[in-house]
Amino acid sequence: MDVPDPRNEAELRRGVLQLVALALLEEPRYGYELVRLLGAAGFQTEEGTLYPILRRFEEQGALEATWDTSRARPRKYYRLSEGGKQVRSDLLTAWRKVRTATDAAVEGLA
Amino acid sequence: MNAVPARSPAVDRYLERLRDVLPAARAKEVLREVEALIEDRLEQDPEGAAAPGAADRALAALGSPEALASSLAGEEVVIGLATRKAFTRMLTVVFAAHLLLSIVLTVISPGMSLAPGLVSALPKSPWAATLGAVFGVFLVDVGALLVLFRLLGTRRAPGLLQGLPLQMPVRRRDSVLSLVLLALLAVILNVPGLRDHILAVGVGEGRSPVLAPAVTALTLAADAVLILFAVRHLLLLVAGVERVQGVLLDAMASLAGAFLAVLLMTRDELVRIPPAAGLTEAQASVFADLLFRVVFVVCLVAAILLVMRFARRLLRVRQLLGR
Repeated sequence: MDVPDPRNEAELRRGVLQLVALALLEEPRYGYELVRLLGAAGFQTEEGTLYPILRRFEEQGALEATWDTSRARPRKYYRLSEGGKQVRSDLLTAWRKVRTATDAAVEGLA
Repeated sequence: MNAVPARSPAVDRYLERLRDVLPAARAKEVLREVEALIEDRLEQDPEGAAAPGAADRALAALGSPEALASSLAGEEVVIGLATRKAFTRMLTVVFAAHLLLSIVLTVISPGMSLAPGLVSALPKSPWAATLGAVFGVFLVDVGALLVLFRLLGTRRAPGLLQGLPLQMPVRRRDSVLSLVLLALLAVILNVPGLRDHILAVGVGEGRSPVLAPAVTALTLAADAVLILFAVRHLLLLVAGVERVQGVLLDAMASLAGAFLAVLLMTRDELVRIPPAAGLTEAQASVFADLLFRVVFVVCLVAAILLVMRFARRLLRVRQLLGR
């Protein structure tokens, strides 16, 4: 047990990935750009994890998506919709509750 | 506008497998999006999009097609869907081949049965009996496949999809080679002097052509099949990608080829070896009989393979149209 298993931390971060992704989508971004931004923000993730989340949010109407076809290869851009702001706000509230509960539960631990 | 480099075969395989395990209704859209994700990562790969391993890295970031489809739809749905797709695909191809075999038996030897109850000639009349027999062929195939899928189980059965890919290989080099071969074949078939010189037995003065007149009479039909295949290759060569029109043309060419093979099998005489070729009459007769059987079996195998190809191409058209 000398070396910490990186999967533990990754699992912990995965739960808040949705909230952070929505926070980064105030302006239009494409999938791989978002992967890199999340990585830079300390949320190392890959397309296989992020894409189903983006798709689910798009189906729910939380994200608006447009294809940029002016390039040699089309690229899909995602942006937070008006409805998405409410989803993000709900997630933020939920996250704060989780954080408070977690802090209380682990208080005093090293 | 930048030139668009050719896509890696590994990416093609990944997208095809993903298509197999996605519900048809959403496959087209998801594939477009996943393809864009792969291309974005390739474009920004530090070693360059064409670097060895770049495609593998991009695909690894997505996880396996099954895992990605599971995240999108739920694991049980994916397994059930892949099993259903594998079953439909196998059934279509097996039924097409089985029916063709029954039709060939009906034409060649009414009442004949290769395996009683399983592979037999169809009754020619009344029509209700023919229809019933065709339905019987279908039921036999459904039953056989149900047993096979039961034996394989829901985990291994979806793997049959990979053994029966629908994607049409599109390689420009292959198309050029095929066009050259088709042109060569067309010249041999349509220039009697050349044909009779190449397809002949014996030496010197005793050399005589082997194709029976009943076979050479089918040259026009053979030309039509060759033209269909040639146009199919030309379309691929021009487009460089698999399009619905190209796949449809391939289906038509395959069906026409199968029809020609069956037509050849119904001829009373396929090869003719005159005693003048340096053989006695008895030897020539035995040799001709042997050659007849070889050509017959080649035609039968070709017809079965072509009709299976026809069925796969039709399934591919359905897939490309997103149905």
